[in-house]
Amino acid sequence: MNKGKIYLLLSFLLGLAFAGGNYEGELDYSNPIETSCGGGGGIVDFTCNIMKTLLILGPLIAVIALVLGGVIYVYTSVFVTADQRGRYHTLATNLAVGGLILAVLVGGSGLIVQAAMGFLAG
Amino acid sequence: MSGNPDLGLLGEFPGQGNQGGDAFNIAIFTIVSMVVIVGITFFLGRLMQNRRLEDWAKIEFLQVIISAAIVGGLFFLMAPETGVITGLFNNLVDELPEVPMPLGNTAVSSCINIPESTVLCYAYSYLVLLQAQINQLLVMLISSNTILDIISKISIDIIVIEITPLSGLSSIVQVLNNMIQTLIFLNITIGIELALLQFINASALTIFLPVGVVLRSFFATRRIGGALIALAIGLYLVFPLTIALNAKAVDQMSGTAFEPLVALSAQTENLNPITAFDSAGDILSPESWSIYLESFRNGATALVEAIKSVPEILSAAISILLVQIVFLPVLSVMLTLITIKEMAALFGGEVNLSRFEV
Repeated sequence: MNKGKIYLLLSFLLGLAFAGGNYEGELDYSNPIETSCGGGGGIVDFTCNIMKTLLILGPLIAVIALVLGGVIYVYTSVFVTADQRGRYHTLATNLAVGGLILAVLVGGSGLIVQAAMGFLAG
Repeated sequence: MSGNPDLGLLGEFPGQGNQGGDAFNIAIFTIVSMVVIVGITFFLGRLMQNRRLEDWAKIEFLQVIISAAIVGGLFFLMAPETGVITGLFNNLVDELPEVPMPLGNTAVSSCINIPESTVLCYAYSYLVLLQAQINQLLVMLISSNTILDIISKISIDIIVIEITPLSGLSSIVQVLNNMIQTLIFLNITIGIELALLQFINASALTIFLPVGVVLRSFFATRRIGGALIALAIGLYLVFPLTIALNAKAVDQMSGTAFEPLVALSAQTENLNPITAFDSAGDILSPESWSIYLESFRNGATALVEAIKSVPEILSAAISILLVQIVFLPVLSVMLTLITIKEMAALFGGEVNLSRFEV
């Protein structure tokens, strides 16, 4: 079975799942993490739960990365010799920049999506 | 967002039985999830200094924005009640071309389960009128043909000679038989087209479009998603629009053109031996037969006149119906397939019609 057929099958299975979907939640674009997904177990709740998990996981990674980046930067500045310091500083910067971008994307995801949705419809 | 999601500036998407609303929710959830996944991937790319991961995240972020724009645009355009596209076709059904009915214009156009302010309803109503026209033609022809068949087989036994004076009518019966078969074929074809329009109404906006939007939002299923969105638009808009074009483009048979057929039907009904004997008396009595044959002799000239003009009118009617019901819809299907193929590319999918692949 090639990929196209698998996707087609998947799409029909998803289509069938629509009939059973019973979403009760509320999406706040400025703060999508507050969405209540209900406990119905339908495809809508399933997707909602995935979104919520990612929205919890994203900031967690971002905060850890920012803190870790800061700790590595400070630690290497104090305790590591100058010839070794460069690589750790690069790592710390990457952690901080990546964490910062991740935080921005996760925090603004709802607003990004809302704004993008208006491009063609506005 | 229970039931009817609020799109903020875009208004409210009503959905059909809440399925559209659910699909909208899933699409939004998928897109928001993809934004977070893109963020995490970008973060990992930076951390591992992997250029490929970073590039993938950037491209994917752009695709997420495009997906969101498509979702917003499509639901804004195609919402069943309030969409911009539906607004274009308000009261369109009132502008249906007049389809004359052989037995009088008694057919009423109807859109069973299809919202009235859609081009789908226009196409459906037009086909319903054509079907009513075919049905009325069939009623007249089958009735006339049955009576002519009976008359053509009446034989008179004179001592040792048996003659069938009206056997010549059997050739007309054969011609009418063929025409009835053609009309039945056309009736079945139009039934298929009506069923197809019902299927489109039931699935395009409630299954194909939502599923397409959801799959388009997720990177692994982007191509099939784009193809399904194109399929939904092609089926819901392009196919009925081409049928509407057919309705406007083809001249209908004029109402007066059916008069010879109506005359034939009336003449044959007058000579119907079954009803004739009801008034003339016992079917076994020779007197009844003389009365019947006398009435036949009186009506024969009018019958012959009616029969003379029938083949020409019927051929014209069947020709026009064949064009309307067979040839032009084939063209409509081809146009729809071409549109789906081209639009699939626009939405990031691909449809290979020759190999039946997406």
